[in-house]
Amino acid sequence: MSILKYISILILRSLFLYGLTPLRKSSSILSIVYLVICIYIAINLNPLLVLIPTTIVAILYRKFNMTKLFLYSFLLTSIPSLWMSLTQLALDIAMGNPYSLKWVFIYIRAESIALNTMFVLHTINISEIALITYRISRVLGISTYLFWRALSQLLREAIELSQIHKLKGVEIWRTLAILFLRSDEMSIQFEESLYLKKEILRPRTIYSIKSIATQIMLIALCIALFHPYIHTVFYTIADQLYQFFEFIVNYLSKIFNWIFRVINSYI
Amino acid sequence: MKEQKVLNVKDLCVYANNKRIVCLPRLEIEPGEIVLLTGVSGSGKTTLLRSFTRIAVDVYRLRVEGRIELLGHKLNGLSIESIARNVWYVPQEPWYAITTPYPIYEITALNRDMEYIYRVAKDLGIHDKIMDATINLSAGEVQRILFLEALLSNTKLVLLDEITSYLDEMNRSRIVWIVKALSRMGISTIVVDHNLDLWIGVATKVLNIENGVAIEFEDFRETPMYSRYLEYKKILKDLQREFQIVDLGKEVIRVRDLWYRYPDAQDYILKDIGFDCHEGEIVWIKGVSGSGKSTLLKVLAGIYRPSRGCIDRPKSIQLVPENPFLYLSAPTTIEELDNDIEIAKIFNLQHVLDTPIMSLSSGERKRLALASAYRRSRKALLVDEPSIGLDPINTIAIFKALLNLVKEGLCIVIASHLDTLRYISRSIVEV
Repeated sequence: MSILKYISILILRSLFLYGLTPLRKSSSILSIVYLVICIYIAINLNPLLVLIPTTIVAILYRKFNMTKLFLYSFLLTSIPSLWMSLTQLALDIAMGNPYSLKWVFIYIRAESIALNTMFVLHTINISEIALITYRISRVLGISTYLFWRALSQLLREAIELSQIHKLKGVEIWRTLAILFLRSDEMSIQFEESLYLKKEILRPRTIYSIKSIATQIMLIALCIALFHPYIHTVFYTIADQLYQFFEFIVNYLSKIFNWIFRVINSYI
Repeated sequence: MKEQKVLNVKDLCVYANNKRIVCLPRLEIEPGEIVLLTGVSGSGKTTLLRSFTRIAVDVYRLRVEGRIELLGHKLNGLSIESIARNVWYVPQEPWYAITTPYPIYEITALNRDMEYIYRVAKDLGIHDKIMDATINLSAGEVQRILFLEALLSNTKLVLLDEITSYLDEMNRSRIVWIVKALSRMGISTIVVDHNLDLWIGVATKVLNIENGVAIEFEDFRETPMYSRYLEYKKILKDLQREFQIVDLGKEVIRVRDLWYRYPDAQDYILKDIGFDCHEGEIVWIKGVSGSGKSTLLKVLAGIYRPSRGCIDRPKSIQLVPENPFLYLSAPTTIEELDNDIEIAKIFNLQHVLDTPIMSLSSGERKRLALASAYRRSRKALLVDEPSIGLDPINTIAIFKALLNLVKEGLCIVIASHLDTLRYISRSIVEV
């Protein structure tokens, strides 16, 4: 029960904690372009390179008073990233290569991609997406709005249900059954609300020039990372960092080995 | 030239599975008229409003017979778009009425003039809420945003289904004042409301549904609903006396120096709250919409951990939320009550024992949730807005059930903005 509750709270807070923030008034197309470049850098270039835009993103969260959102996103994205990296670590240990730093790079790569994806979700301009989909089909445009609205409502009700049912001492399957019934009722009520509204609900975009300028700056920064000079400088720094990490890990492993030997001798 | 009627209805009957729900022999609405629609819960008020918009036929698959003319055109002959351009419908359940993740998306679809939007929103006291996420708004705030949309919609007819149910006294008065302003602009309104006092001298016509037939009255004092309303006030006073003479027992809930702040908020929503609740006592948590009443109940229940202060409460404490459906966990009434017929009788639920919970009315759902919570805790109950959206008969039924519980020695903490709670509460905590 509590797992369901905490995951719902985490997703709800990661996506709907704040209102229509200035970052949500940016351009979704630019957001997607930024994400594609970030993923390309993380996969095809040195994964450490992607830490630069990710750090800028963290600063942006701070600047726009959305630090908590960054924190919740970090917690949420850590679940798959840690899963992947720890699997690699377990594999390395099983293969007799415990000092490999592959798992660290996997973590950085996965975490950066996931964090930047969350950033795009936080900055995606739903009104712009709705307008684009509306141009394709009216139903699709309205559905775009409804998807975000219904998702948040369902998550909120899931949280409230699990909290109340926990007090009541109800089994999780009963809570889920009620949630399904609720979603059924919810769909009829949304249908009723939309029956007339859909005829006049034409998506209109809301933009902020400041947010779009920020996005262009981020994209420019990412493109600059492809420049051979920056690339070479960064590779040199990364290489030295890598050697430094390797040194630390080896040194730590020696200390742990020594501690284990001392403990074993006493046992 | 004679002005065209906004709505002209003749011999209207609505059926579900060949069973008649409601009939309206005649109704003519002139531009700027305010029509109050009354009747007990389940009498067909909402169904009537739905039939004026074709929602009854197209969404709820009901059969509508008779003639409905909107601005001189037959409703059936009009496209949905033409109906939408002339009729604005605010449904009863506020939670689902805003269909976009941020209300500003819907609002700007109706009007692009942000300065005008802010000015009207300020009159309604919600100018700082229109950019919020819809999910973070209280029911009262949603209702005011829906009303703002009605104002911006520029339609000829506005249908308001219990628009004031989640509002405090001040915001109710605001709504009435704006409906009057709409009337002066030539916009007609049909209002469904249980609070008849609010519309005295405002409604130009009253439609009262009795035994499935809606009859038009010039003065609402002539309606059967009004005599019932007066009787309801008298019963409330009698109930007040009964609640006051219940002997108080030992302390059940003890709250001292309670402060609470949401993990993501800058300010405390609850500040320095302190009170006791004894056996046989009802404590009323009073406050305007969005003031933190429901949050206090959740802190008392142990769902949220207080930022500061201490709470002593029994382990078996139960919380019945504003939406009672969220408390229920069995498919039918009898299963929810684990075959306890005696409790069903206390809460007047014996006639719906085998009814699926989905088919229960809102009053029945509230009584069932209370009964089920009582089965689980004989010491303390926390109840959020027990009588909201209920007609006088259902409100009395709920209050009588609560009286039975306090007589059994239960301590009940109720959060509500409704003034009627003063009749049943022994102490008040303002948030």
